[in-house]
Parts: sequence; C-alpha cells; structure tokens
Amino acid sequence: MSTDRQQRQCRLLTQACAQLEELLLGGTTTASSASQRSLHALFEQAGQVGLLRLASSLRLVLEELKRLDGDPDRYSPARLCFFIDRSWLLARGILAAIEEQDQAQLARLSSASPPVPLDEVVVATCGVQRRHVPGAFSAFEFRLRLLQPLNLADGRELAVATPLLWSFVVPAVKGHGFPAEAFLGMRQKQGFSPNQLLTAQPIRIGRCALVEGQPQRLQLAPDCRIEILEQPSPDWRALLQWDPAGWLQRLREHRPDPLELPIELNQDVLLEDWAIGPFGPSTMPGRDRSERCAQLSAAGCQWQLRIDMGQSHLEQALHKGQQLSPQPALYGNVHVEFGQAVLIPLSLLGEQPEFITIGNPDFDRAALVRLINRA
Amino acid sequence: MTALHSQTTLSADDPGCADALRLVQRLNALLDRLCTKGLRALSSEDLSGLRAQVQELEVIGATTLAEQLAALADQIGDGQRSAAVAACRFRAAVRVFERLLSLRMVEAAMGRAMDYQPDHEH
Repeated sequence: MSTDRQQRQCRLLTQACAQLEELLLGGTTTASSASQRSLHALFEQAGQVGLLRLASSLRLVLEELKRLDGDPDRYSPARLCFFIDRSWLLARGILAAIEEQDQAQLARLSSASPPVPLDEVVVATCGVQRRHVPGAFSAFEFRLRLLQPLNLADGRELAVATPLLWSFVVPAVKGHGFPAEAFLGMRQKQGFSPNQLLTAQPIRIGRCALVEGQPQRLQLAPDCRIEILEQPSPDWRALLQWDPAGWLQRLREHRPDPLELPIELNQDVLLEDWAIGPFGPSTMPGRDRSERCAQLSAAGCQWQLRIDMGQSHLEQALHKGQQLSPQPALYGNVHVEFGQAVLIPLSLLGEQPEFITIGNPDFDRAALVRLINRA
Repeated sequence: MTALHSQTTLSADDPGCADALRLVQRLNALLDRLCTKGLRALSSEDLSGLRAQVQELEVIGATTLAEQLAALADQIGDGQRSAAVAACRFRAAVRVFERLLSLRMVEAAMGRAMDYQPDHEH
C-alpha cells in the first residue's frame, strides 16, 4: 500500500477516534447535526480508503443517532454505545497495525477477505434462519452443505458436508406491511426465486464466489445459474453429523478478543430426543421486545432456544414437533452468550428437512407485484 | 489475555459465576447510561454509583477490572479528556471478561454432560 494512502488512513483514523471520544465526553445531547455530518463524512472517507469494517461500524453509530431524533421508540443506548466502542477499537487497532507495519492485523481489521470465484458448487439446503429487524430489513440465511468436494484455487479442499451460507436480504420499504416471506417468491436477476431453494433435492449453483467467515458464505454472480437436480436426496443425518467433543475443544481453546461478536464462534448441531419449555420474552437486557426464548433440554445439556419476536408459527411448529412420534431431530446453530449456550433453530429433520422457520402468512400478491413494478 | 485469566478467583463451576455475569450486565447498563449522558456531564451521584461497582468487582476477585474502573472514575472526576479513552478500554476489558466467563461456564456444563454420557455416539 502506498505511503500516501496510509497517511490518509492515519489522518482519518485519528479524526475518527477524536470524534468518537468527543461523543462519549459530551453525550448524545451534543451530537448535533454538524457533528453527525462530520461523522458521516468520516464514514464515506473510510469506505473510500478501504477501511470497510470501520465504515460499516460508523454507519451503525449514525443510524442509531438518527433513531434518537426520528424514531425514539426503536433507539437503543446499548446499541449506540456498542458501535461507538467498536468503531473506536477498530480505529485504534488499525492505527497501531499501520504504525507497526503488521500486515496480517491490518487485513483482519480493515476489510473482509476478497471473494474466491467458483465455477459451480452442489449443495443441499438443510435449514433457514429468518431474521427481521423492523424498519431496517428482513433476511433469510439459507444453511447449505456441500454434496461434492470442492477444490479451491489456493490448494484447499472443502470436504462434503462443509457448511455454507447464502443470505437473501430484503431492505425495509417505508409504507408497506408485507411479511418477509412474501419476498421469497420474487424472481431474482439470475432468474430464480429464493423459495426454489426450499427443497430436499440437491442444488447446483453455477458461477458464484466464496467469502471467508464462520461459516463461509456464497455470493451469487449476476450470471449465476441455479438448477434443482433430479437426484436422490442426500443422507441428511450423515450430512449434519456433528462432534460435541470437537465443539467442547473449540470452546476450551478459544481466546476471545474485544472485537469479536458472540455469533462468530458457532457450531451447527443436530439434536435427537429434545424437550422444549414454554416461550417467553428474552431475558437478555434490552431484548425483551425483540426476541423470545425457551429452555431446551437435549444431549444432557440445557440450551437457550432463541427466536425473533413475531414468529408464532415457529413456536407452534417446535411444540408440535416435540410431540411427534418418532420425534424429528432439531437442527440449529449454537453460540455462547452471557453464560448460556444459545441455539437458533434452523429446521426439523425427519426423513428430510422441514423448514419450520418459514411461515405461510397471507398477503396481497397483486399489491406486492404493483410495489415491485414501481421500484 | 493471560492477565485476564487471573482476573478473578471464580471458577466456572462456582455459583458466583452467575452473580459475576449479572454484575457485568449491571455494569454495562450503567456505562451505557453514563456514556449517553456524557462523561463531562456526570454528577457526584453518578460517580458514586461507578465507585460502588469498583467494590463489587473487588468482591468477585476481578481486581484488575476494579483498578481500571477506579482509574476511570478518577479521570472522570478530574474532568480529564483521557476519560473517554479509559472508558473505551475499560469496556473492552469487561467484554473480554464476560466472554471468558461465559465460555468457561458453557464448557463446564457441556463437560459434565459428556462425562455422564461416555458411550454417546457423535
């Protein structure tokens, strides 16, 4: 990287630290329009000089400050402080990495790894996480598993059953009340609808890219092609088999850093013989209006099963699934947060996955088509 | 990171771990409130509330965190600009402390469950 670019980065990082510190010293009442404009300028400049993680974090500080003025019911002091701290840590960490010429740390802190292009992958959809942030976005995270090994250009091989994730994000549009599921039927520019991936059949995805993460993510190229294959369903239990001893070892060996998010250390689990208690508002501070939780017993452990508010269909499906004989297995993703193993449900597995996280709400399809045509 | 492992006298099986996590949650909520109010605008009552948490941290044996918080409270009380930096550093330390405690608690629970299921098929 050129010295000139690094000098620009250093000046920007120093300004960012100073502004964030001033925000902490003066409080939100001093976050005037002028100071927000100044922060916005820093956000734009951070993106221009390749400091994408910092830019993303500054954007979230700005969004929360805007909520304080314009949408106080959805404003969260905890979220604002979290992203102020995060932005400051990133800025300080990047400055230190530049001063010490620590290229590895610089890469880790400044931006995500570049995507690795792939000709094709063959996968199966094992579950879906549905996320809904009112007024911001809805997202469906399709949890996939490789059905064929994949050789990467850097010499690595990804084995069969490697977890992959594809996200379908729907930004909130002011003034419409369509449920998130309504958008699963939308034809994408690549010629497929996301709900076509809700199948037990193998899926071939041509022309995509792999982005590092936990799990690795798939990005679809504009000319990507999706093909549902007329082949037998995979052996789901073999595909979703997991190693509790391996997960325990990862927990033992993990050394947290202040920038990590709890969900970044996670594990897919398949739980047979499970029992779930009643749902209630989340006991996590500040989340009682946005999340619901239930105690889950399985594999000799207690788990906190967590879902977003407003998913009564999912609560019913879980309680119903618990009563079935034979009982389907519960496929989910686990992370650790505030002393608990938190499980996000992804599907129930009998002979094949049942995508219980996807509701079937009524909505005016003609009105949705009109909205899309206007966009 | 090694220093943080000796942050506290608690062990993962100690029922005090749950109390320590509750202290962390109270501390985070207090800091959120004080930071949005503005460190320059804090009253003597706000500072007393912070210093009370110093004692709570000492009770659970988190002596390094207690020292950091005491130093932060002093800088706020003296009106030093460096209080903002100290606040960010302290919050980062609290975050790592909570993560370590949480990981050890879940690891201990899972370890016990696996000890009871020696023939568990993975």
